Amino acid sequence: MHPQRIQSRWWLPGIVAVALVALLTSPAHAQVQEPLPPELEVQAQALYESVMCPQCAGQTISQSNSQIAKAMRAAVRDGLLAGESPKQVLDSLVASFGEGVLASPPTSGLSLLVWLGPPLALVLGGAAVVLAIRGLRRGAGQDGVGGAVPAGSKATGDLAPYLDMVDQEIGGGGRGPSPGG
Amino acid sequence: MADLGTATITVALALAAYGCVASFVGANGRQAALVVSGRRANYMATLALGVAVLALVTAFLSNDFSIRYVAEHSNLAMPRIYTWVAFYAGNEGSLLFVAFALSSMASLSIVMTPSRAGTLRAYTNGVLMLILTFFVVVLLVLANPFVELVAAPFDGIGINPLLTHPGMFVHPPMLMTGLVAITVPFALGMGTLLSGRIDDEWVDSARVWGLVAWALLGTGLLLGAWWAYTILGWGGYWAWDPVENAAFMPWLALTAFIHSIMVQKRRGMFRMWNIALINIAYSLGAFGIFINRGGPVPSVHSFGASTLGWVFLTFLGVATLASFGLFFYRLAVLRSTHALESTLSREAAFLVNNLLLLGIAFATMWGVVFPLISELTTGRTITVGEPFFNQVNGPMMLALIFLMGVGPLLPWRTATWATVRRALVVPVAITLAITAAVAVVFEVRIVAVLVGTAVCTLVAVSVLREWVRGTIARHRASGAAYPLAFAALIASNRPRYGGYVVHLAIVMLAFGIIGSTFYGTTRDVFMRVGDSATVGVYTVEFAAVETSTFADRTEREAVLRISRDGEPLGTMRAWNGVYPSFQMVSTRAAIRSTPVDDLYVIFSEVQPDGQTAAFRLLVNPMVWWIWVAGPFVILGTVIALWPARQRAVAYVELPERAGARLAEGAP
Repeated sequence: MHPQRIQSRWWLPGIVAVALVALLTSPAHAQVQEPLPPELEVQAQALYESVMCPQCAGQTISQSNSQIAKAMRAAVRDGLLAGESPKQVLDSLVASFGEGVLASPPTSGLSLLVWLGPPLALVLGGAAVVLAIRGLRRGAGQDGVGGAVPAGSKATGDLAPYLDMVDQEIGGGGRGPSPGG
Repeated sequence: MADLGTATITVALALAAYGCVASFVGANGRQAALVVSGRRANYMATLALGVAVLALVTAFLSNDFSIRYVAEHSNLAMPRIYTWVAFYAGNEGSLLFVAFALSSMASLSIVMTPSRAGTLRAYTNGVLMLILTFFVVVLLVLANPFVELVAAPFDGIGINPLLTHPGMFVHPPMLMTGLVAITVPFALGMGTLLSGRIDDEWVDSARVWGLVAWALLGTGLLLGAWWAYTILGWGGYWAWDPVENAAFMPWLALTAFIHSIMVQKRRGMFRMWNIALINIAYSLGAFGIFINRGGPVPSVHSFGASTLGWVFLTFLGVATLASFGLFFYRLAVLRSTHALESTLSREAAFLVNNLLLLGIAFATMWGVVFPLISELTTGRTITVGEPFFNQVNGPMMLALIFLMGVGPLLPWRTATWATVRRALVVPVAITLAITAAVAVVFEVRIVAVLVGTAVCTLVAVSVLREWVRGTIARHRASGAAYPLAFAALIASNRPRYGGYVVHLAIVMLAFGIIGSTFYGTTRDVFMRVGDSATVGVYTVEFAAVETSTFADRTEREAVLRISRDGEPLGTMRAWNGVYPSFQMVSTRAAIRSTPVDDLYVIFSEVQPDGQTAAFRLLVNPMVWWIWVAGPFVILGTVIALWPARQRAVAYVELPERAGARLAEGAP
């Protein structure tokens, strides 16, 4: 909706303009396109979904109906019809538009961090859960609350807050560090 | 109208600020009158904002283009019904809506909090009013919808045509309301910390409001997906767009919260964790408002470009720091009263559930912010889009669904491997049999699909089995007819069985997502009138094109004759509208939806000859199930929220609290 804002942030407008003119004036676009053979159509659709439209705010060229997305779809078709592999088509798009044109970053270099972040977080979180379970279970032995009284017991459940409150009023001595610690 | 609007917003600001100060001072000094007046200021602020809302609606209905916001988002040609949408089509109006929604829920939640909650209620009110003050200040100073133009134009600019869709009547207000609804459980958590009361008084209210926010956000997300599917016209329903993600993350954190709060309700455990979770959910909600209204990332949702980014970024930072600061300050009093007895228990399963939900939220956040980090540190522009989110979040979601099947079978407190084996053996056997049958009959060879089918089936089987067994047991015990026995079963434990309904809805959703993700077919074709093309099992014939011209747009409808295997299925109409003043083409796909698959035809473009057109033809398997899941999510939430009969409980106040209670006064 606001191409100027996005352009200044994302892309060199010059490159886009030159590429757009080049693609729009290519003969393939001027006419109605013949349908692709089925196997190429599948490849083309997969490529449309993995290439971003440079001017359309987070849409792939599959989703966008803008002029540049149409032109880029035409470029993908032409590449495939000319016998290029999907990888070659992608490479030539990256060459003209930069790495940001790929819908998901490559699994190399700095971009590898994108892929490593979530599994790493899951492992750390898992470790935290294991530690928490251990901590909570050790509490069962020492506290005496969970062990001595049946834990589901109504009395403990309803009185516990007040017992804690009493503890706190006394000075919080017996129960953990003082506030702020 | 402009003066009335600005005046009422000013009054609301004064009331909210007073309510905040009065509640905190009154609660701190045990001054009953102040606390009561703080609460009343809350109710009056809602009234004042309500008048401001009515003023803006009146301005829209009377075409008062002297008000800039009305001139920018409405015109004489706009059907009056779209006033509802135009109201929040821009920043100023949406902020007024947000402030009014927040204020209404603040009032409602305080009315509903029992007076026995004592200082908790006063502190909660104070936190709610503090947050409302922030929004009303922004509204008044930076985004006043009642700013007047020097000279009123003859006609307004009009509404963005993409927004003129039935989904737009519900999707944005639901999401905005959902995002601010998290404020209520958050304020309850903060109120608990501030009051220093260490009991579980906040838990019931926080669970109710957490569920409300969760259902609003979830339904809002689903409606957004539906809008994208039917109008955005690329054939999909979810694109991991930054704004979608921004609403999805708090929803995930809330999902974790409404599960883990049950452990505190039932077992008095996870006290620290629940407060931390609601803090996370609120911070993510504030992040959502920041992304949506501040827009640092490109998104299809950039309808109201704004300069408010830094304001909401500051709010996000302050809210996060303050809530976690308070949390760590009070950490010592938040310890559990009960210990975890076994690693093999429902409590432990809930912890893993929380881990996975937050894992998905983290991966999503990581994908949203990484391009910003990359650009700031290396200057290189990269995109983290759909393939990343599907590959990273997909497996975690499948693990979560697996847990949804197993978790409810685990008993509270402790289980032995023998009991678990006994509980699991039948559902797992049925699941494996069904999965194998699916693999053979439908020739499924994709591992992810097989795993997805298996975990979804496991959930469905374990839920249905428990329902069937429970119903039969009740029928035998009471002699009631089966439907009555089933209703009695559901009524016997509403949170649990309401949750099961939602679980089944999630299974439908998952089946729809799996089917459409892995088995969709797409074709782009050009057709002249009279041509036909095939996609999947369908043949689409372009029979005619009908053109009608309006003042602001040219509409074309392609008449399509559909057949499957030579057997005619009738006609469909795909719509295409060109809006010259917006330089925009809007499409509305022709969709033939069945539980098996959707035939989806986009009428993308007409050639100058008026007879040749570009179409995109899609077959989207099982998408139908995604939309069907929506009503079941709402049904399940309503069952879970339906108030149970009041238990006869005598509340005993400690002497010191008795004073505070008297100070609170009668409601």
